[in-house]
Amino acid sequence: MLGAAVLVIAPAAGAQTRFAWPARPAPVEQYGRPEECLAAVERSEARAVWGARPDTLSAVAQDRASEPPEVIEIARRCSAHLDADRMPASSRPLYLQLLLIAGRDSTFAAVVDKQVAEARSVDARSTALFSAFDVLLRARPVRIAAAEQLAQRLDALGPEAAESRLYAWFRLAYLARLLGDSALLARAAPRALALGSRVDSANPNLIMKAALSTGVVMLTPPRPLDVLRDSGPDAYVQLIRRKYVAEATKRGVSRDTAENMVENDLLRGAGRPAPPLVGDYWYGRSDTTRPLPARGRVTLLAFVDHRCRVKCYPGYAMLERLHRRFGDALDIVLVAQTFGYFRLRPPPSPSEEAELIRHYFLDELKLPGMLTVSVTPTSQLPAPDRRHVYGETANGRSYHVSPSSTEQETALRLVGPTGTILYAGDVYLQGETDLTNLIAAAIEYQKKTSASSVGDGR
Amino acid sequence: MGVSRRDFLKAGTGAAVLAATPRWLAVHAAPGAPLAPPITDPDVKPLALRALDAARSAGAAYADVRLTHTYTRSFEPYHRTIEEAEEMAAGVRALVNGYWGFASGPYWTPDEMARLGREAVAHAKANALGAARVVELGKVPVVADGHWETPVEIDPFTVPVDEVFDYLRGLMIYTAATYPGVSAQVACDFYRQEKAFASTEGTFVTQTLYRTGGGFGISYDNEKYRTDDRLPTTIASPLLGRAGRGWEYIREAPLREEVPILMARLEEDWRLPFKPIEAGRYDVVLDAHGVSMLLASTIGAATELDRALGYEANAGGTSWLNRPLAMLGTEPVGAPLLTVTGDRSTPGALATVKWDDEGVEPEPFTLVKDGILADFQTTREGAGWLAEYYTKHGKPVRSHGCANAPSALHATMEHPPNLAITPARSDVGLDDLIAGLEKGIFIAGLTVDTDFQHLNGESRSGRFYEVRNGKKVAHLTGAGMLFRAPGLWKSLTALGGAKSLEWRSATMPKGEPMRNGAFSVGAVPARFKDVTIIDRTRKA
Amino acid sequence: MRRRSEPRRLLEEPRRFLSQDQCEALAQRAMRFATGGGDTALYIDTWWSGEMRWGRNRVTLGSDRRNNQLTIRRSIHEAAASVRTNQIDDVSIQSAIQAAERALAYHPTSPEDIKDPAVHFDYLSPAIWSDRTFALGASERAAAARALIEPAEQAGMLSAGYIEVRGAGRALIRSNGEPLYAPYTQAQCSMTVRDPQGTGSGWAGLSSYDWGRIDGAALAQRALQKCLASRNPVGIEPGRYTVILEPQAVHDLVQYVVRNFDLRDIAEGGVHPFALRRDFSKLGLKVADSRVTISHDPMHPDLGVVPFTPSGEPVRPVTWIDHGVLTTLAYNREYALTKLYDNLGYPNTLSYQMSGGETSVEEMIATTKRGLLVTRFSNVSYVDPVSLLLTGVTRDGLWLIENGKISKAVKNLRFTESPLFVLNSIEQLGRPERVFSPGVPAIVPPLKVKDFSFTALIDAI
Repeated sequence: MLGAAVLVIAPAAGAQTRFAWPARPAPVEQYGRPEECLAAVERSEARAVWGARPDTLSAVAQDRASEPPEVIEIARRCSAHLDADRMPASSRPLYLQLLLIAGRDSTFAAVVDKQVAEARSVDARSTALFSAFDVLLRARPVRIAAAEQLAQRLDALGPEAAESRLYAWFRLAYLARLLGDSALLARAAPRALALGSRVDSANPNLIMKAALSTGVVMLTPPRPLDVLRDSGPDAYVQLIRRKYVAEATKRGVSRDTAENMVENDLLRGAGRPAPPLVGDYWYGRSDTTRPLPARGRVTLLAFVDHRCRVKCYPGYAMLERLHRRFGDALDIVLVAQTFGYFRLRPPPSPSEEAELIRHYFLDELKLPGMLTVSVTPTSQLPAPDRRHVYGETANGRSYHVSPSSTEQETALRLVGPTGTILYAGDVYLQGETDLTNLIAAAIEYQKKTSASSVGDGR
Repeated sequence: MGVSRRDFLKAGTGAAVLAATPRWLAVHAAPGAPLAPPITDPDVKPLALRALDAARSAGAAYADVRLTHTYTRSFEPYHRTIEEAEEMAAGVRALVNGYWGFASGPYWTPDEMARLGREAVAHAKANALGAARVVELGKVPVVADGHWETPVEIDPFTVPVDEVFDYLRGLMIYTAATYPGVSAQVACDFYRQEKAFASTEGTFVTQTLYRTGGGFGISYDNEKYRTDDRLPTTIASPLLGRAGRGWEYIREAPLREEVPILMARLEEDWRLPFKPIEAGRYDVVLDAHGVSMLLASTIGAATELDRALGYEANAGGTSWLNRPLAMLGTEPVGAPLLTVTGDRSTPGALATVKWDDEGVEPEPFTLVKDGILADFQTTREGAGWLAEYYTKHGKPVRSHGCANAPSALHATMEHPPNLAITPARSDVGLDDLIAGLEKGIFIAGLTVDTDFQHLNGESRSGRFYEVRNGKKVAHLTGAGMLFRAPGLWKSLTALGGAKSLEWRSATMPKGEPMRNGAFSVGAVPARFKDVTIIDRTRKA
Repeated sequence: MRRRSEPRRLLEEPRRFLSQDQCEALAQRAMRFATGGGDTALYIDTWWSGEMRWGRNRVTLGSDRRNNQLTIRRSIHEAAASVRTNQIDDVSIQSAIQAAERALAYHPTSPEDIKDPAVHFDYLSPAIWSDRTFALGASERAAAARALIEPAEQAGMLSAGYIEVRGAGRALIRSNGEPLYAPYTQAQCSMTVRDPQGTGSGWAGLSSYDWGRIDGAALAQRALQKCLASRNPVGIEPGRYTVILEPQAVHDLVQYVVRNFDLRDIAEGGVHPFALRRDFSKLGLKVADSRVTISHDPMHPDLGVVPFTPSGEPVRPVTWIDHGVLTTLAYNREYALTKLYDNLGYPNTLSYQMSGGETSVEEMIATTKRGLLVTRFSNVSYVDPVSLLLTGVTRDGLWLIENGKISKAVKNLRFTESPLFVLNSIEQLGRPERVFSPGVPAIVPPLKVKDFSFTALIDAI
């Protein structure tokens, strides 16, 4: 009888099993092409992430600025024997990518130099330089200094390479803003803008949009964050609006278009007063009588969604870091809503679902802050279709957040001490520096004003 | 003291206790022991012989036994999925008074082998109570101890899984980086079947068969050229299919070079206008793919002898070549330039073996000679059915080695060998055939549906092009090809030369319970005259 | 799932397939090897099959085959991978589990599992086990085959056919859910009788879980009569004909409708015969003649199926088309939970019952001025999956009806037609009866349908 035959076999080391895989590892030292090496790199990256899964939040919270050591190791072993001269030209950009992952920056430079030296036309030289530049900016950690050097070498190619130069400097300026590198921003942004007006094919609207996102206007004093620190949220938003519109109109964009661009592309709701949060269920909030976001406090609203799983984890990790950095100075409110279901359990009642949501965010993921859950109004299509269609929650309506976006990514709203929305956007890791600086400035202002309030004797 | 695998495989010799022990119990006694012996292990033969002994002592006039261990591993690099499956089986076939019995199961134990032997005889005997039946097995030389392996350059199962993924994903990375807007889809799978065959006539042979399959295609979205939403943006490469080869089959295919070729083919398609088909008779050129599909589903199926004689009447059907003895050597099945051969020894082909599932070493044979039906696909029993013809023409009454089964779980039956159309002597290629078409239709990638006699058919899919003065000028929408197999093959007017020969994989389901036999088809492009072209979407 | 009382024949030794206890013990061993956390599921299909095949009036093979197909699935976090094996010893299972875990590391995400062990489903207990089927041994099958061959042989005809009886168990055992197991039997019998010159062919067949519900003698007579009556057919012009479709012929077409009862494609924006427009189905709309109702009740004595799906969802009664109106399309539990706030989906088991009427085939013939009587269709394939346009050929008996009488046997025809058109062009319906549909039982009426489209003459018999 089978039932009696229960005898556990200790997995003997090296025991030959029938689903046997070859014991030898992938011979990356013999791979013929850089793309295969890159696949090996991807694979080992995926495995590094997978290996860290049981504690996913801490995994993504780690410094993402450099490649994991095992990835570098694979890239090193796989790139050592490859020879740029013996591979088809089409594989060369991939080779360059691989060299940076392997940390072989000097070989990278040599290969680029050789490519440029061999190029017969300005066009070919600019292509070679720009594609190398592109690879440098995508690398982890990003090679800013080397990229800036290449941008300068592109500049030396003169007007014929104007388009590549324009994009190179814009990319640098954009990166500078994301990284909070104001010195680089000061070097790159004006160059980009100047080149923009020289390139015939460039559309002034697009150039301005790019300029907005690279924060060109931040360069001339007074700087927006200084203003936030010194004069508060309203002055900050006003300044941004005024400066950007002025800069745009100066460059030939009509006033209406400029104002639209500033509202839609940059502020996206910032500057408006933050409506009070409404919640059917509250967790982790001691005082339910005071409205939230509280006056005199800096509040970060995170519109979280229990349907969004792994892809939202980086955002949650950022919330944790912000909480660690600012502690009690920053109120974090997780804003959630019910959807009529939770995972694949039987449909819960709203109160049961709120409890499941609480358990997920506060107990399982241990996110910082208070949590509010709104019951989503739904309507049902007539039978036999019977699908439930979501209505809007009060919070979603007042903050312009839709459940279709939160399913993909956590939405964020930063509210200043005066109750003005300072930032409206999504979580993206690269924007963390920017957001952190913004919160820091808002808190500084808040501390200053509350101190001065005390000083006023109120 | 542990008991080794050898001990429990060994029948009777001092391991009486183990012999009576089901396999899973034996396993517990031998922790960590490698359980699946290679098919060449000296203990496999006693296991096989035990089944034959049991069958013989139960009264079988003839019996054979097969042991198979089938292992598959497939890779899909986009989602990084890897799938693995294993099947072990043993099957015994016994002949009593002209009736066959068969028994199979999943366990390779001495006891189970004996049970299968007895069970097979019991089934044969149950039937032998009815009307008498005579089975004459075609003669076959006895091979006492043979082993053969599909000659692969790289055993795909020795390639590290990481290396396979790196290779496949490398192709995707390369394509995306080199051709903006293009993404590559690629996948591959490996198959290994170890099998042993033993018969009461004294043959014992073992084989390790490999098959490697793959698919490569691109998605290319370039709205600049695309004239119509109906036109596909994805295209599969004909370079990969399935073959009796190893990892080199995937490795050596020039897939990177294929990307711009596929892009060009899509772009060419996108530039052509659309035209509704006008039903009528046209001169038609088929590419090698279309010819191979046509060959497999008409002549390939119709020359299966069991079908022709009506043994498959209740399943897949019969054959239009339904009076074999009367038709052999006289029945025209195509134009004189048509010669079709069958061969299970073609290197690298899917049905290629050293010995078939009756221990017969296959050899090339001609099914259609200069347009005339020359032979059928046979097993040992089937060869006997044609003894009269063979003897009259001084040919040996010998199986062509077409006995086949997916694994030992299934009884063997006749399945197509690798089929090949003999190319023209000239050096004509597909482009030449199209260039020679003044007014007609070129069909790319034709697949067909036929009826239950493989006689009448209709195209199932394929891209139809109008050709004028040797050039493709338009897509024909809704077009279909309607044919009667012998009529179509008789209207064959030109074949491509040896350089245009391409091998495709095919399967042809048959039997009850239904199973597939995989085989390769070698075909060249061809031109046919006065082919009936219909509007397929039109009802009567 | 409630433990079923073991079928009597199952208590025999040696067992022909794994019992519930064996499957559960097997699963327990497997779970012990799954040391990496997460969940483990074993889907087991264990079967015995007794077969009998004949051709040219002689049995060509009697066989006994057994196998256990294990699909072992491991899921950790959001990743899942499965491997298959047919070996049940410890080393094999441990190897398989390790293989699944290895594969997991490559495959980071997958759809969610049904995770909550607290969820309890009620599973039905359909009639799917027959001792009579399981007891039909080699000698009984041989005797049955001889009885089936005899009438044809005596009439000088050639018979080919197949009998299969099967006893099997299907189990789904999960580390996080209640164990499911269902033993079931299947039986089928079909035969083709041809005249030795190959000018006529007749077929008859039937399947059921219960061998006792298959009347072999009637099938043998039917196949023989069809063969005799179909000899020396004459060719007729293809075109639109009023057709009388015997139940098997109706099934050969309507099964394509049943296969398409699927909401998933539509919800994902696919083009589909039951999609009205993007994201909206034809649910609630009339898609067939109002006399047509297509439903499935697993508790119907002739429509039993294994009461759970491979993912563990319970099979339950469903009405797909109610008096011509499309009322349900299949969806899984995930769709039910997220879109409908229901706990259960409607899996499509492909088993179905189609409503009928009171008209006998004889009456249909008597009321037909000119038309064709169709035994069955063969080699059916899609021309256009969106409109469900199919093509295929008639087989094993096609007759011309003139002035209320069968006038002559005619050569087979190729059709190009959509079963949805058929369901909207019904003139008369007959009494529904069981048809040949092994494993997925169906009950289908004969139909008289107008303007059925035949597009080519074929001369295969």
